[in-house]
Amino acid sequence: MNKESPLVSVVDDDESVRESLPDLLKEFGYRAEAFSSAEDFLTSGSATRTNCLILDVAMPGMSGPDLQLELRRRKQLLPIIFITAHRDEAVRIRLLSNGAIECLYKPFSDSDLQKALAKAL
Amino acid sequence: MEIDLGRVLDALPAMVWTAMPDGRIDFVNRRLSEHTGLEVEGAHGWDLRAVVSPGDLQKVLQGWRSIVASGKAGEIAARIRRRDGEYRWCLLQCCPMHNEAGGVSKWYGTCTDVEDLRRAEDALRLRELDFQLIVDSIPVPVAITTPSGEVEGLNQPTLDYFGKTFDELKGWKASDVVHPDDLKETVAAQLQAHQNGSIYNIESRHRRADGVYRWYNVIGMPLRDRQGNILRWFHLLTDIDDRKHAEEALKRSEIQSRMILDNMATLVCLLMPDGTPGLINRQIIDYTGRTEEELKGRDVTYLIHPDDLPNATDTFKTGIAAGDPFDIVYRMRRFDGVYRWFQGRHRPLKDDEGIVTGWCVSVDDIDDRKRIEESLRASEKDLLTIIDSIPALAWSASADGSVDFLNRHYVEYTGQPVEQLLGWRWTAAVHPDDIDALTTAWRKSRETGVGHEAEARLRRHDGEYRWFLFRSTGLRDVNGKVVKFYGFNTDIEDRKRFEQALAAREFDARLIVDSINGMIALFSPDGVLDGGNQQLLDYFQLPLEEVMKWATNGITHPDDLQHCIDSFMASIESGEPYAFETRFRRFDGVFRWFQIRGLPHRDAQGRIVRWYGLLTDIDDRKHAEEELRRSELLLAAGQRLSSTGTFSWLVDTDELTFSDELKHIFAFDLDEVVTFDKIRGRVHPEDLPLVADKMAEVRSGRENPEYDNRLLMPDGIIKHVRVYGRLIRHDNGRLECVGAVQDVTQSRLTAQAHDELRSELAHVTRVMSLGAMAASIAHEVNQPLSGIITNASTCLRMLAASPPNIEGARETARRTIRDGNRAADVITKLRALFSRRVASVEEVDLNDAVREVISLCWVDLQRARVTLRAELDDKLPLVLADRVQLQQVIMNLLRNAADAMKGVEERQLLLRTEPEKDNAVRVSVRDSGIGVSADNLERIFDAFYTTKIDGMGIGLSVSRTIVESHGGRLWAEPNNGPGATVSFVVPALFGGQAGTPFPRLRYDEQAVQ
Repeated sequence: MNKESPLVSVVDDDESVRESLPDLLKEFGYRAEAFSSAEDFLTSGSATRTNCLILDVAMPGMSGPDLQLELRRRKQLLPIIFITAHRDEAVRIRLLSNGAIECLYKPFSDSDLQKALAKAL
Repeated sequence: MEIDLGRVLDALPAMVWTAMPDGRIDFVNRRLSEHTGLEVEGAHGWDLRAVVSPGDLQKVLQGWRSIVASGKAGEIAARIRRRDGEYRWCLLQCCPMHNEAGGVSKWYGTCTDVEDLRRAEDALRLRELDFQLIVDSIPVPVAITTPSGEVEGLNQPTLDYFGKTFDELKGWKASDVVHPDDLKETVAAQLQAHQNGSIYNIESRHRRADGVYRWYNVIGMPLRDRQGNILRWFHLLTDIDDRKHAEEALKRSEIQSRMILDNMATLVCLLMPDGTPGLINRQIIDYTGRTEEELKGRDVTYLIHPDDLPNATDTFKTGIAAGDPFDIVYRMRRFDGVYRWFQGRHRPLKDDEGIVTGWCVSVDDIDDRKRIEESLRASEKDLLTIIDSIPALAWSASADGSVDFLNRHYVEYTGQPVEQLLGWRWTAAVHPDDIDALTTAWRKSRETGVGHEAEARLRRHDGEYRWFLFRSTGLRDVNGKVVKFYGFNTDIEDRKRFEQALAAREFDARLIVDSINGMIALFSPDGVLDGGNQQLLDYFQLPLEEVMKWATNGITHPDDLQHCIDSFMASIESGEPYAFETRFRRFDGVFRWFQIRGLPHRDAQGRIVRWYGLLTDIDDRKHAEEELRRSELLLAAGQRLSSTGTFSWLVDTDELTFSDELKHIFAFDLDEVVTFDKIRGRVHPEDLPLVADKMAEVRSGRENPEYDNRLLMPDGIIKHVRVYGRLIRHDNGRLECVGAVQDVTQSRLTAQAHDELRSELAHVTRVMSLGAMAASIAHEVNQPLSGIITNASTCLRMLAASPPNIEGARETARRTIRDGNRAADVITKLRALFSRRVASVEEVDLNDAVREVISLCWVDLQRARVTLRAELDDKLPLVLADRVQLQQVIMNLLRNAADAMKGVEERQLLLRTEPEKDNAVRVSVRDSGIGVSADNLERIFDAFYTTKIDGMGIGLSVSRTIVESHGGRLWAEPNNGPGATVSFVVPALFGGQAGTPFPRLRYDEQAVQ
């Protein structure tokens, strides 16, 4: 790895996701960081550094879509991959039409994730 | 003897003169001297020159000289001057006296005034000449003969006519100038006349110069001298040939006339101008049985009936004298002695100057006519009897108007003798006020000859006046002239009274008509408006002429116009009354509804003389009708919609009236008569006693409150009905029960269904919550699952790396196991939580419920380092609710609150219960967590938004459903400080609240404060 590999940020309030996902990302060869809330992510300033965002939809406080809006407002355009445990097709379509790269239902396969990441980066 | 010769000569009654032998006149006697006025002067004698007319002088001188010379007697005529200067012819005669020697010794002469003689001679000569001229100029031949018959003279026309000479005609007797047939007679007649010396007048034919014999009337007249001796005969021949022919023609025509006359069916005779009979035709002869001579000659007055004779004679005499046509009617005696009526019509025949030349009399047999007249007169008598018995006052008047006959009734009615009524006196019985009109009408009638009619009062014998209708007709002769008037007066008193009453009523009627609260229109028989009452005019405020055009001028509403015209005209044609409704425009432009009713008015013959139309303003009624109709519709609709029927029950007669809806409810036909038996046939057998009781109550006059019962329909369907009834006591003591019956089957079913639905809903809610739950479960499970998969994937990759990352793999495996357990836990807990329960509603003390939840969650809350405080109102009313469900809600709220405080230091949780206004209970959970933004206050209840639950519990949306199904509401509101408060309110139990077992869903408009 000569060039710095892309940074992928994971924002999910679920601990197990925060535990497991970064490792997988590392295995994919990306750098990864995790945040427990959208607010944490924003305050971290990672929005400017990161290359891609893996975002949980349902979170207490600022939700995933809220974060998406906020980033847009801030003109920090990041490719976003939504992950959600809530199977709602309407929501998925809405998210996609709003500019999300992908919206994956939990549990998702690693290959799906990989594909989405490839699209984003 | 020289007697005084002179004196002798003077005494001679002649004019004497003497002359000397030489001719010198030496003596004139006194007479001559007086005649001439000359004296003899001297010896020269008479100067002849002085006495002789110069014209004759020469002649006289010469004549005298010659006489003297001759010595012989002679005479000379000359004009001698008389003393007065007049020259008069005198004849001078002289005679010589011879001496012995034979010589003349003296001349003696006379002078005779022959002037008169001369004059006479001259006259005579003139007359002779004249006569000759005359005679010659007489256009008729004149012959003069001697007394013996010799032709002495013939005038020129004679000669001309005969074309013969005088001499030739002299011997006429022997010639053929007279027609051989007439000759003998002519000669004989002439001879006789000559002998008798009488005028003879014969007609004979004489031959004209051209040989044609013509008739001549020869009249011979003797010319006598003074002694009566016939000097001459004058014969006048008058050409009567034409006359003769005419006479013959006349005779022929006379014969013809005679024949005609004789063949005429009438008795005809011709009279002389003086009336004496001239010609009598055969009929008269035959009728009378007399000969013509008898009739002409004798006095014929015996032929006339003695009774008629005086009048006949007078009339005849007067008529003949007057010379104008006249008639006489008389009876004439027939040959057999029978008298028959005749009318003798005498017509004068006049010449050009108008002088009567004769009378033509036609005597017509009028006997039959006379008999007819008599029978007529007899029948007239009968008629009179009839007239007298007619129950009317009959009268007749002559052409001039004076009444000449009044029948018995008239007389009896007026009570006056006939004489006092004849002529013009009848007018006295007429009422003074009516006289003028009556006489005017009567006069007009006479003038025009047309009958009249007039009404007037006539005074009855008792003085009372009664109305009569005076009617007359004129009787005309063949020329159309009115000769008589016949009249009839009929008593119309009653009718008049009636009319007056009618007029009064009409006046009243008019008043009424104008005060009727309706508009009246009058139409002619063909439907033209010709009158209207005041209301009508006031309504339209148009002149009648405008209203007449109702079909075209827009005062009739366009939508109604056709119907209006059709109905009206159909009636006019058929004569049937009409009734229809239409709108008319008022004067202010507003259209109002009217009901039009029309009736025809007929005369005695049944003909329609008028149409009366009554227009009633029904606008308000129409609107009211519409309102009523609408309200009826509404009522019916209402009944239908509410499945409520109404009934009326007249208790004492058990008369029942069901509304349509009620019949429908009972499944009766709409036209079925409802009886109690029928009702009992519908009531559910098990409820019959109940119904019977209720009915008995009503019968005894007690009202019963509403009650429910069931009906069993013929098809087995059960209906639940609720009966409401009320008793009405009428003024007449009658009892009526009126009520409503509501079919509550549906609502009951609905309620039941609702209950079931409720429980279903509760279940479904639960099921729904299961959905949400599933989502939550999925969410819950998916999280560890996702972790598991991710970790597993990572593990595989780590192991596949070279060198394999064993440590990493171990870690991932460990996480995998942990997540797997986590997932299992969640499912276990949820399953335990989620068991199908029927919602059990009970009276719940929420405080207890809350305490239970708190104890359940205590451990978790502890672990989460949440400080829980509970403020439970001890006066909290009970709630009718599903305990478990509400506990679940509370649990959810607690968990959410705990979650919300996760990131904060201060974790204060306050749980309160308190009574709420309007009999409710409020439970609120207040946290000091991160709070909810204003935007999210509602969004948090979205299923979508439901946050993950930490292990157990249900989402806010389900909580809300549960609360709302309890009739409450669930909402969130931010605190004044940190965090939010989520509260719910549910109704408390109200004592004796009837209703459905499960509170209804209530929509909460007032969502969140």
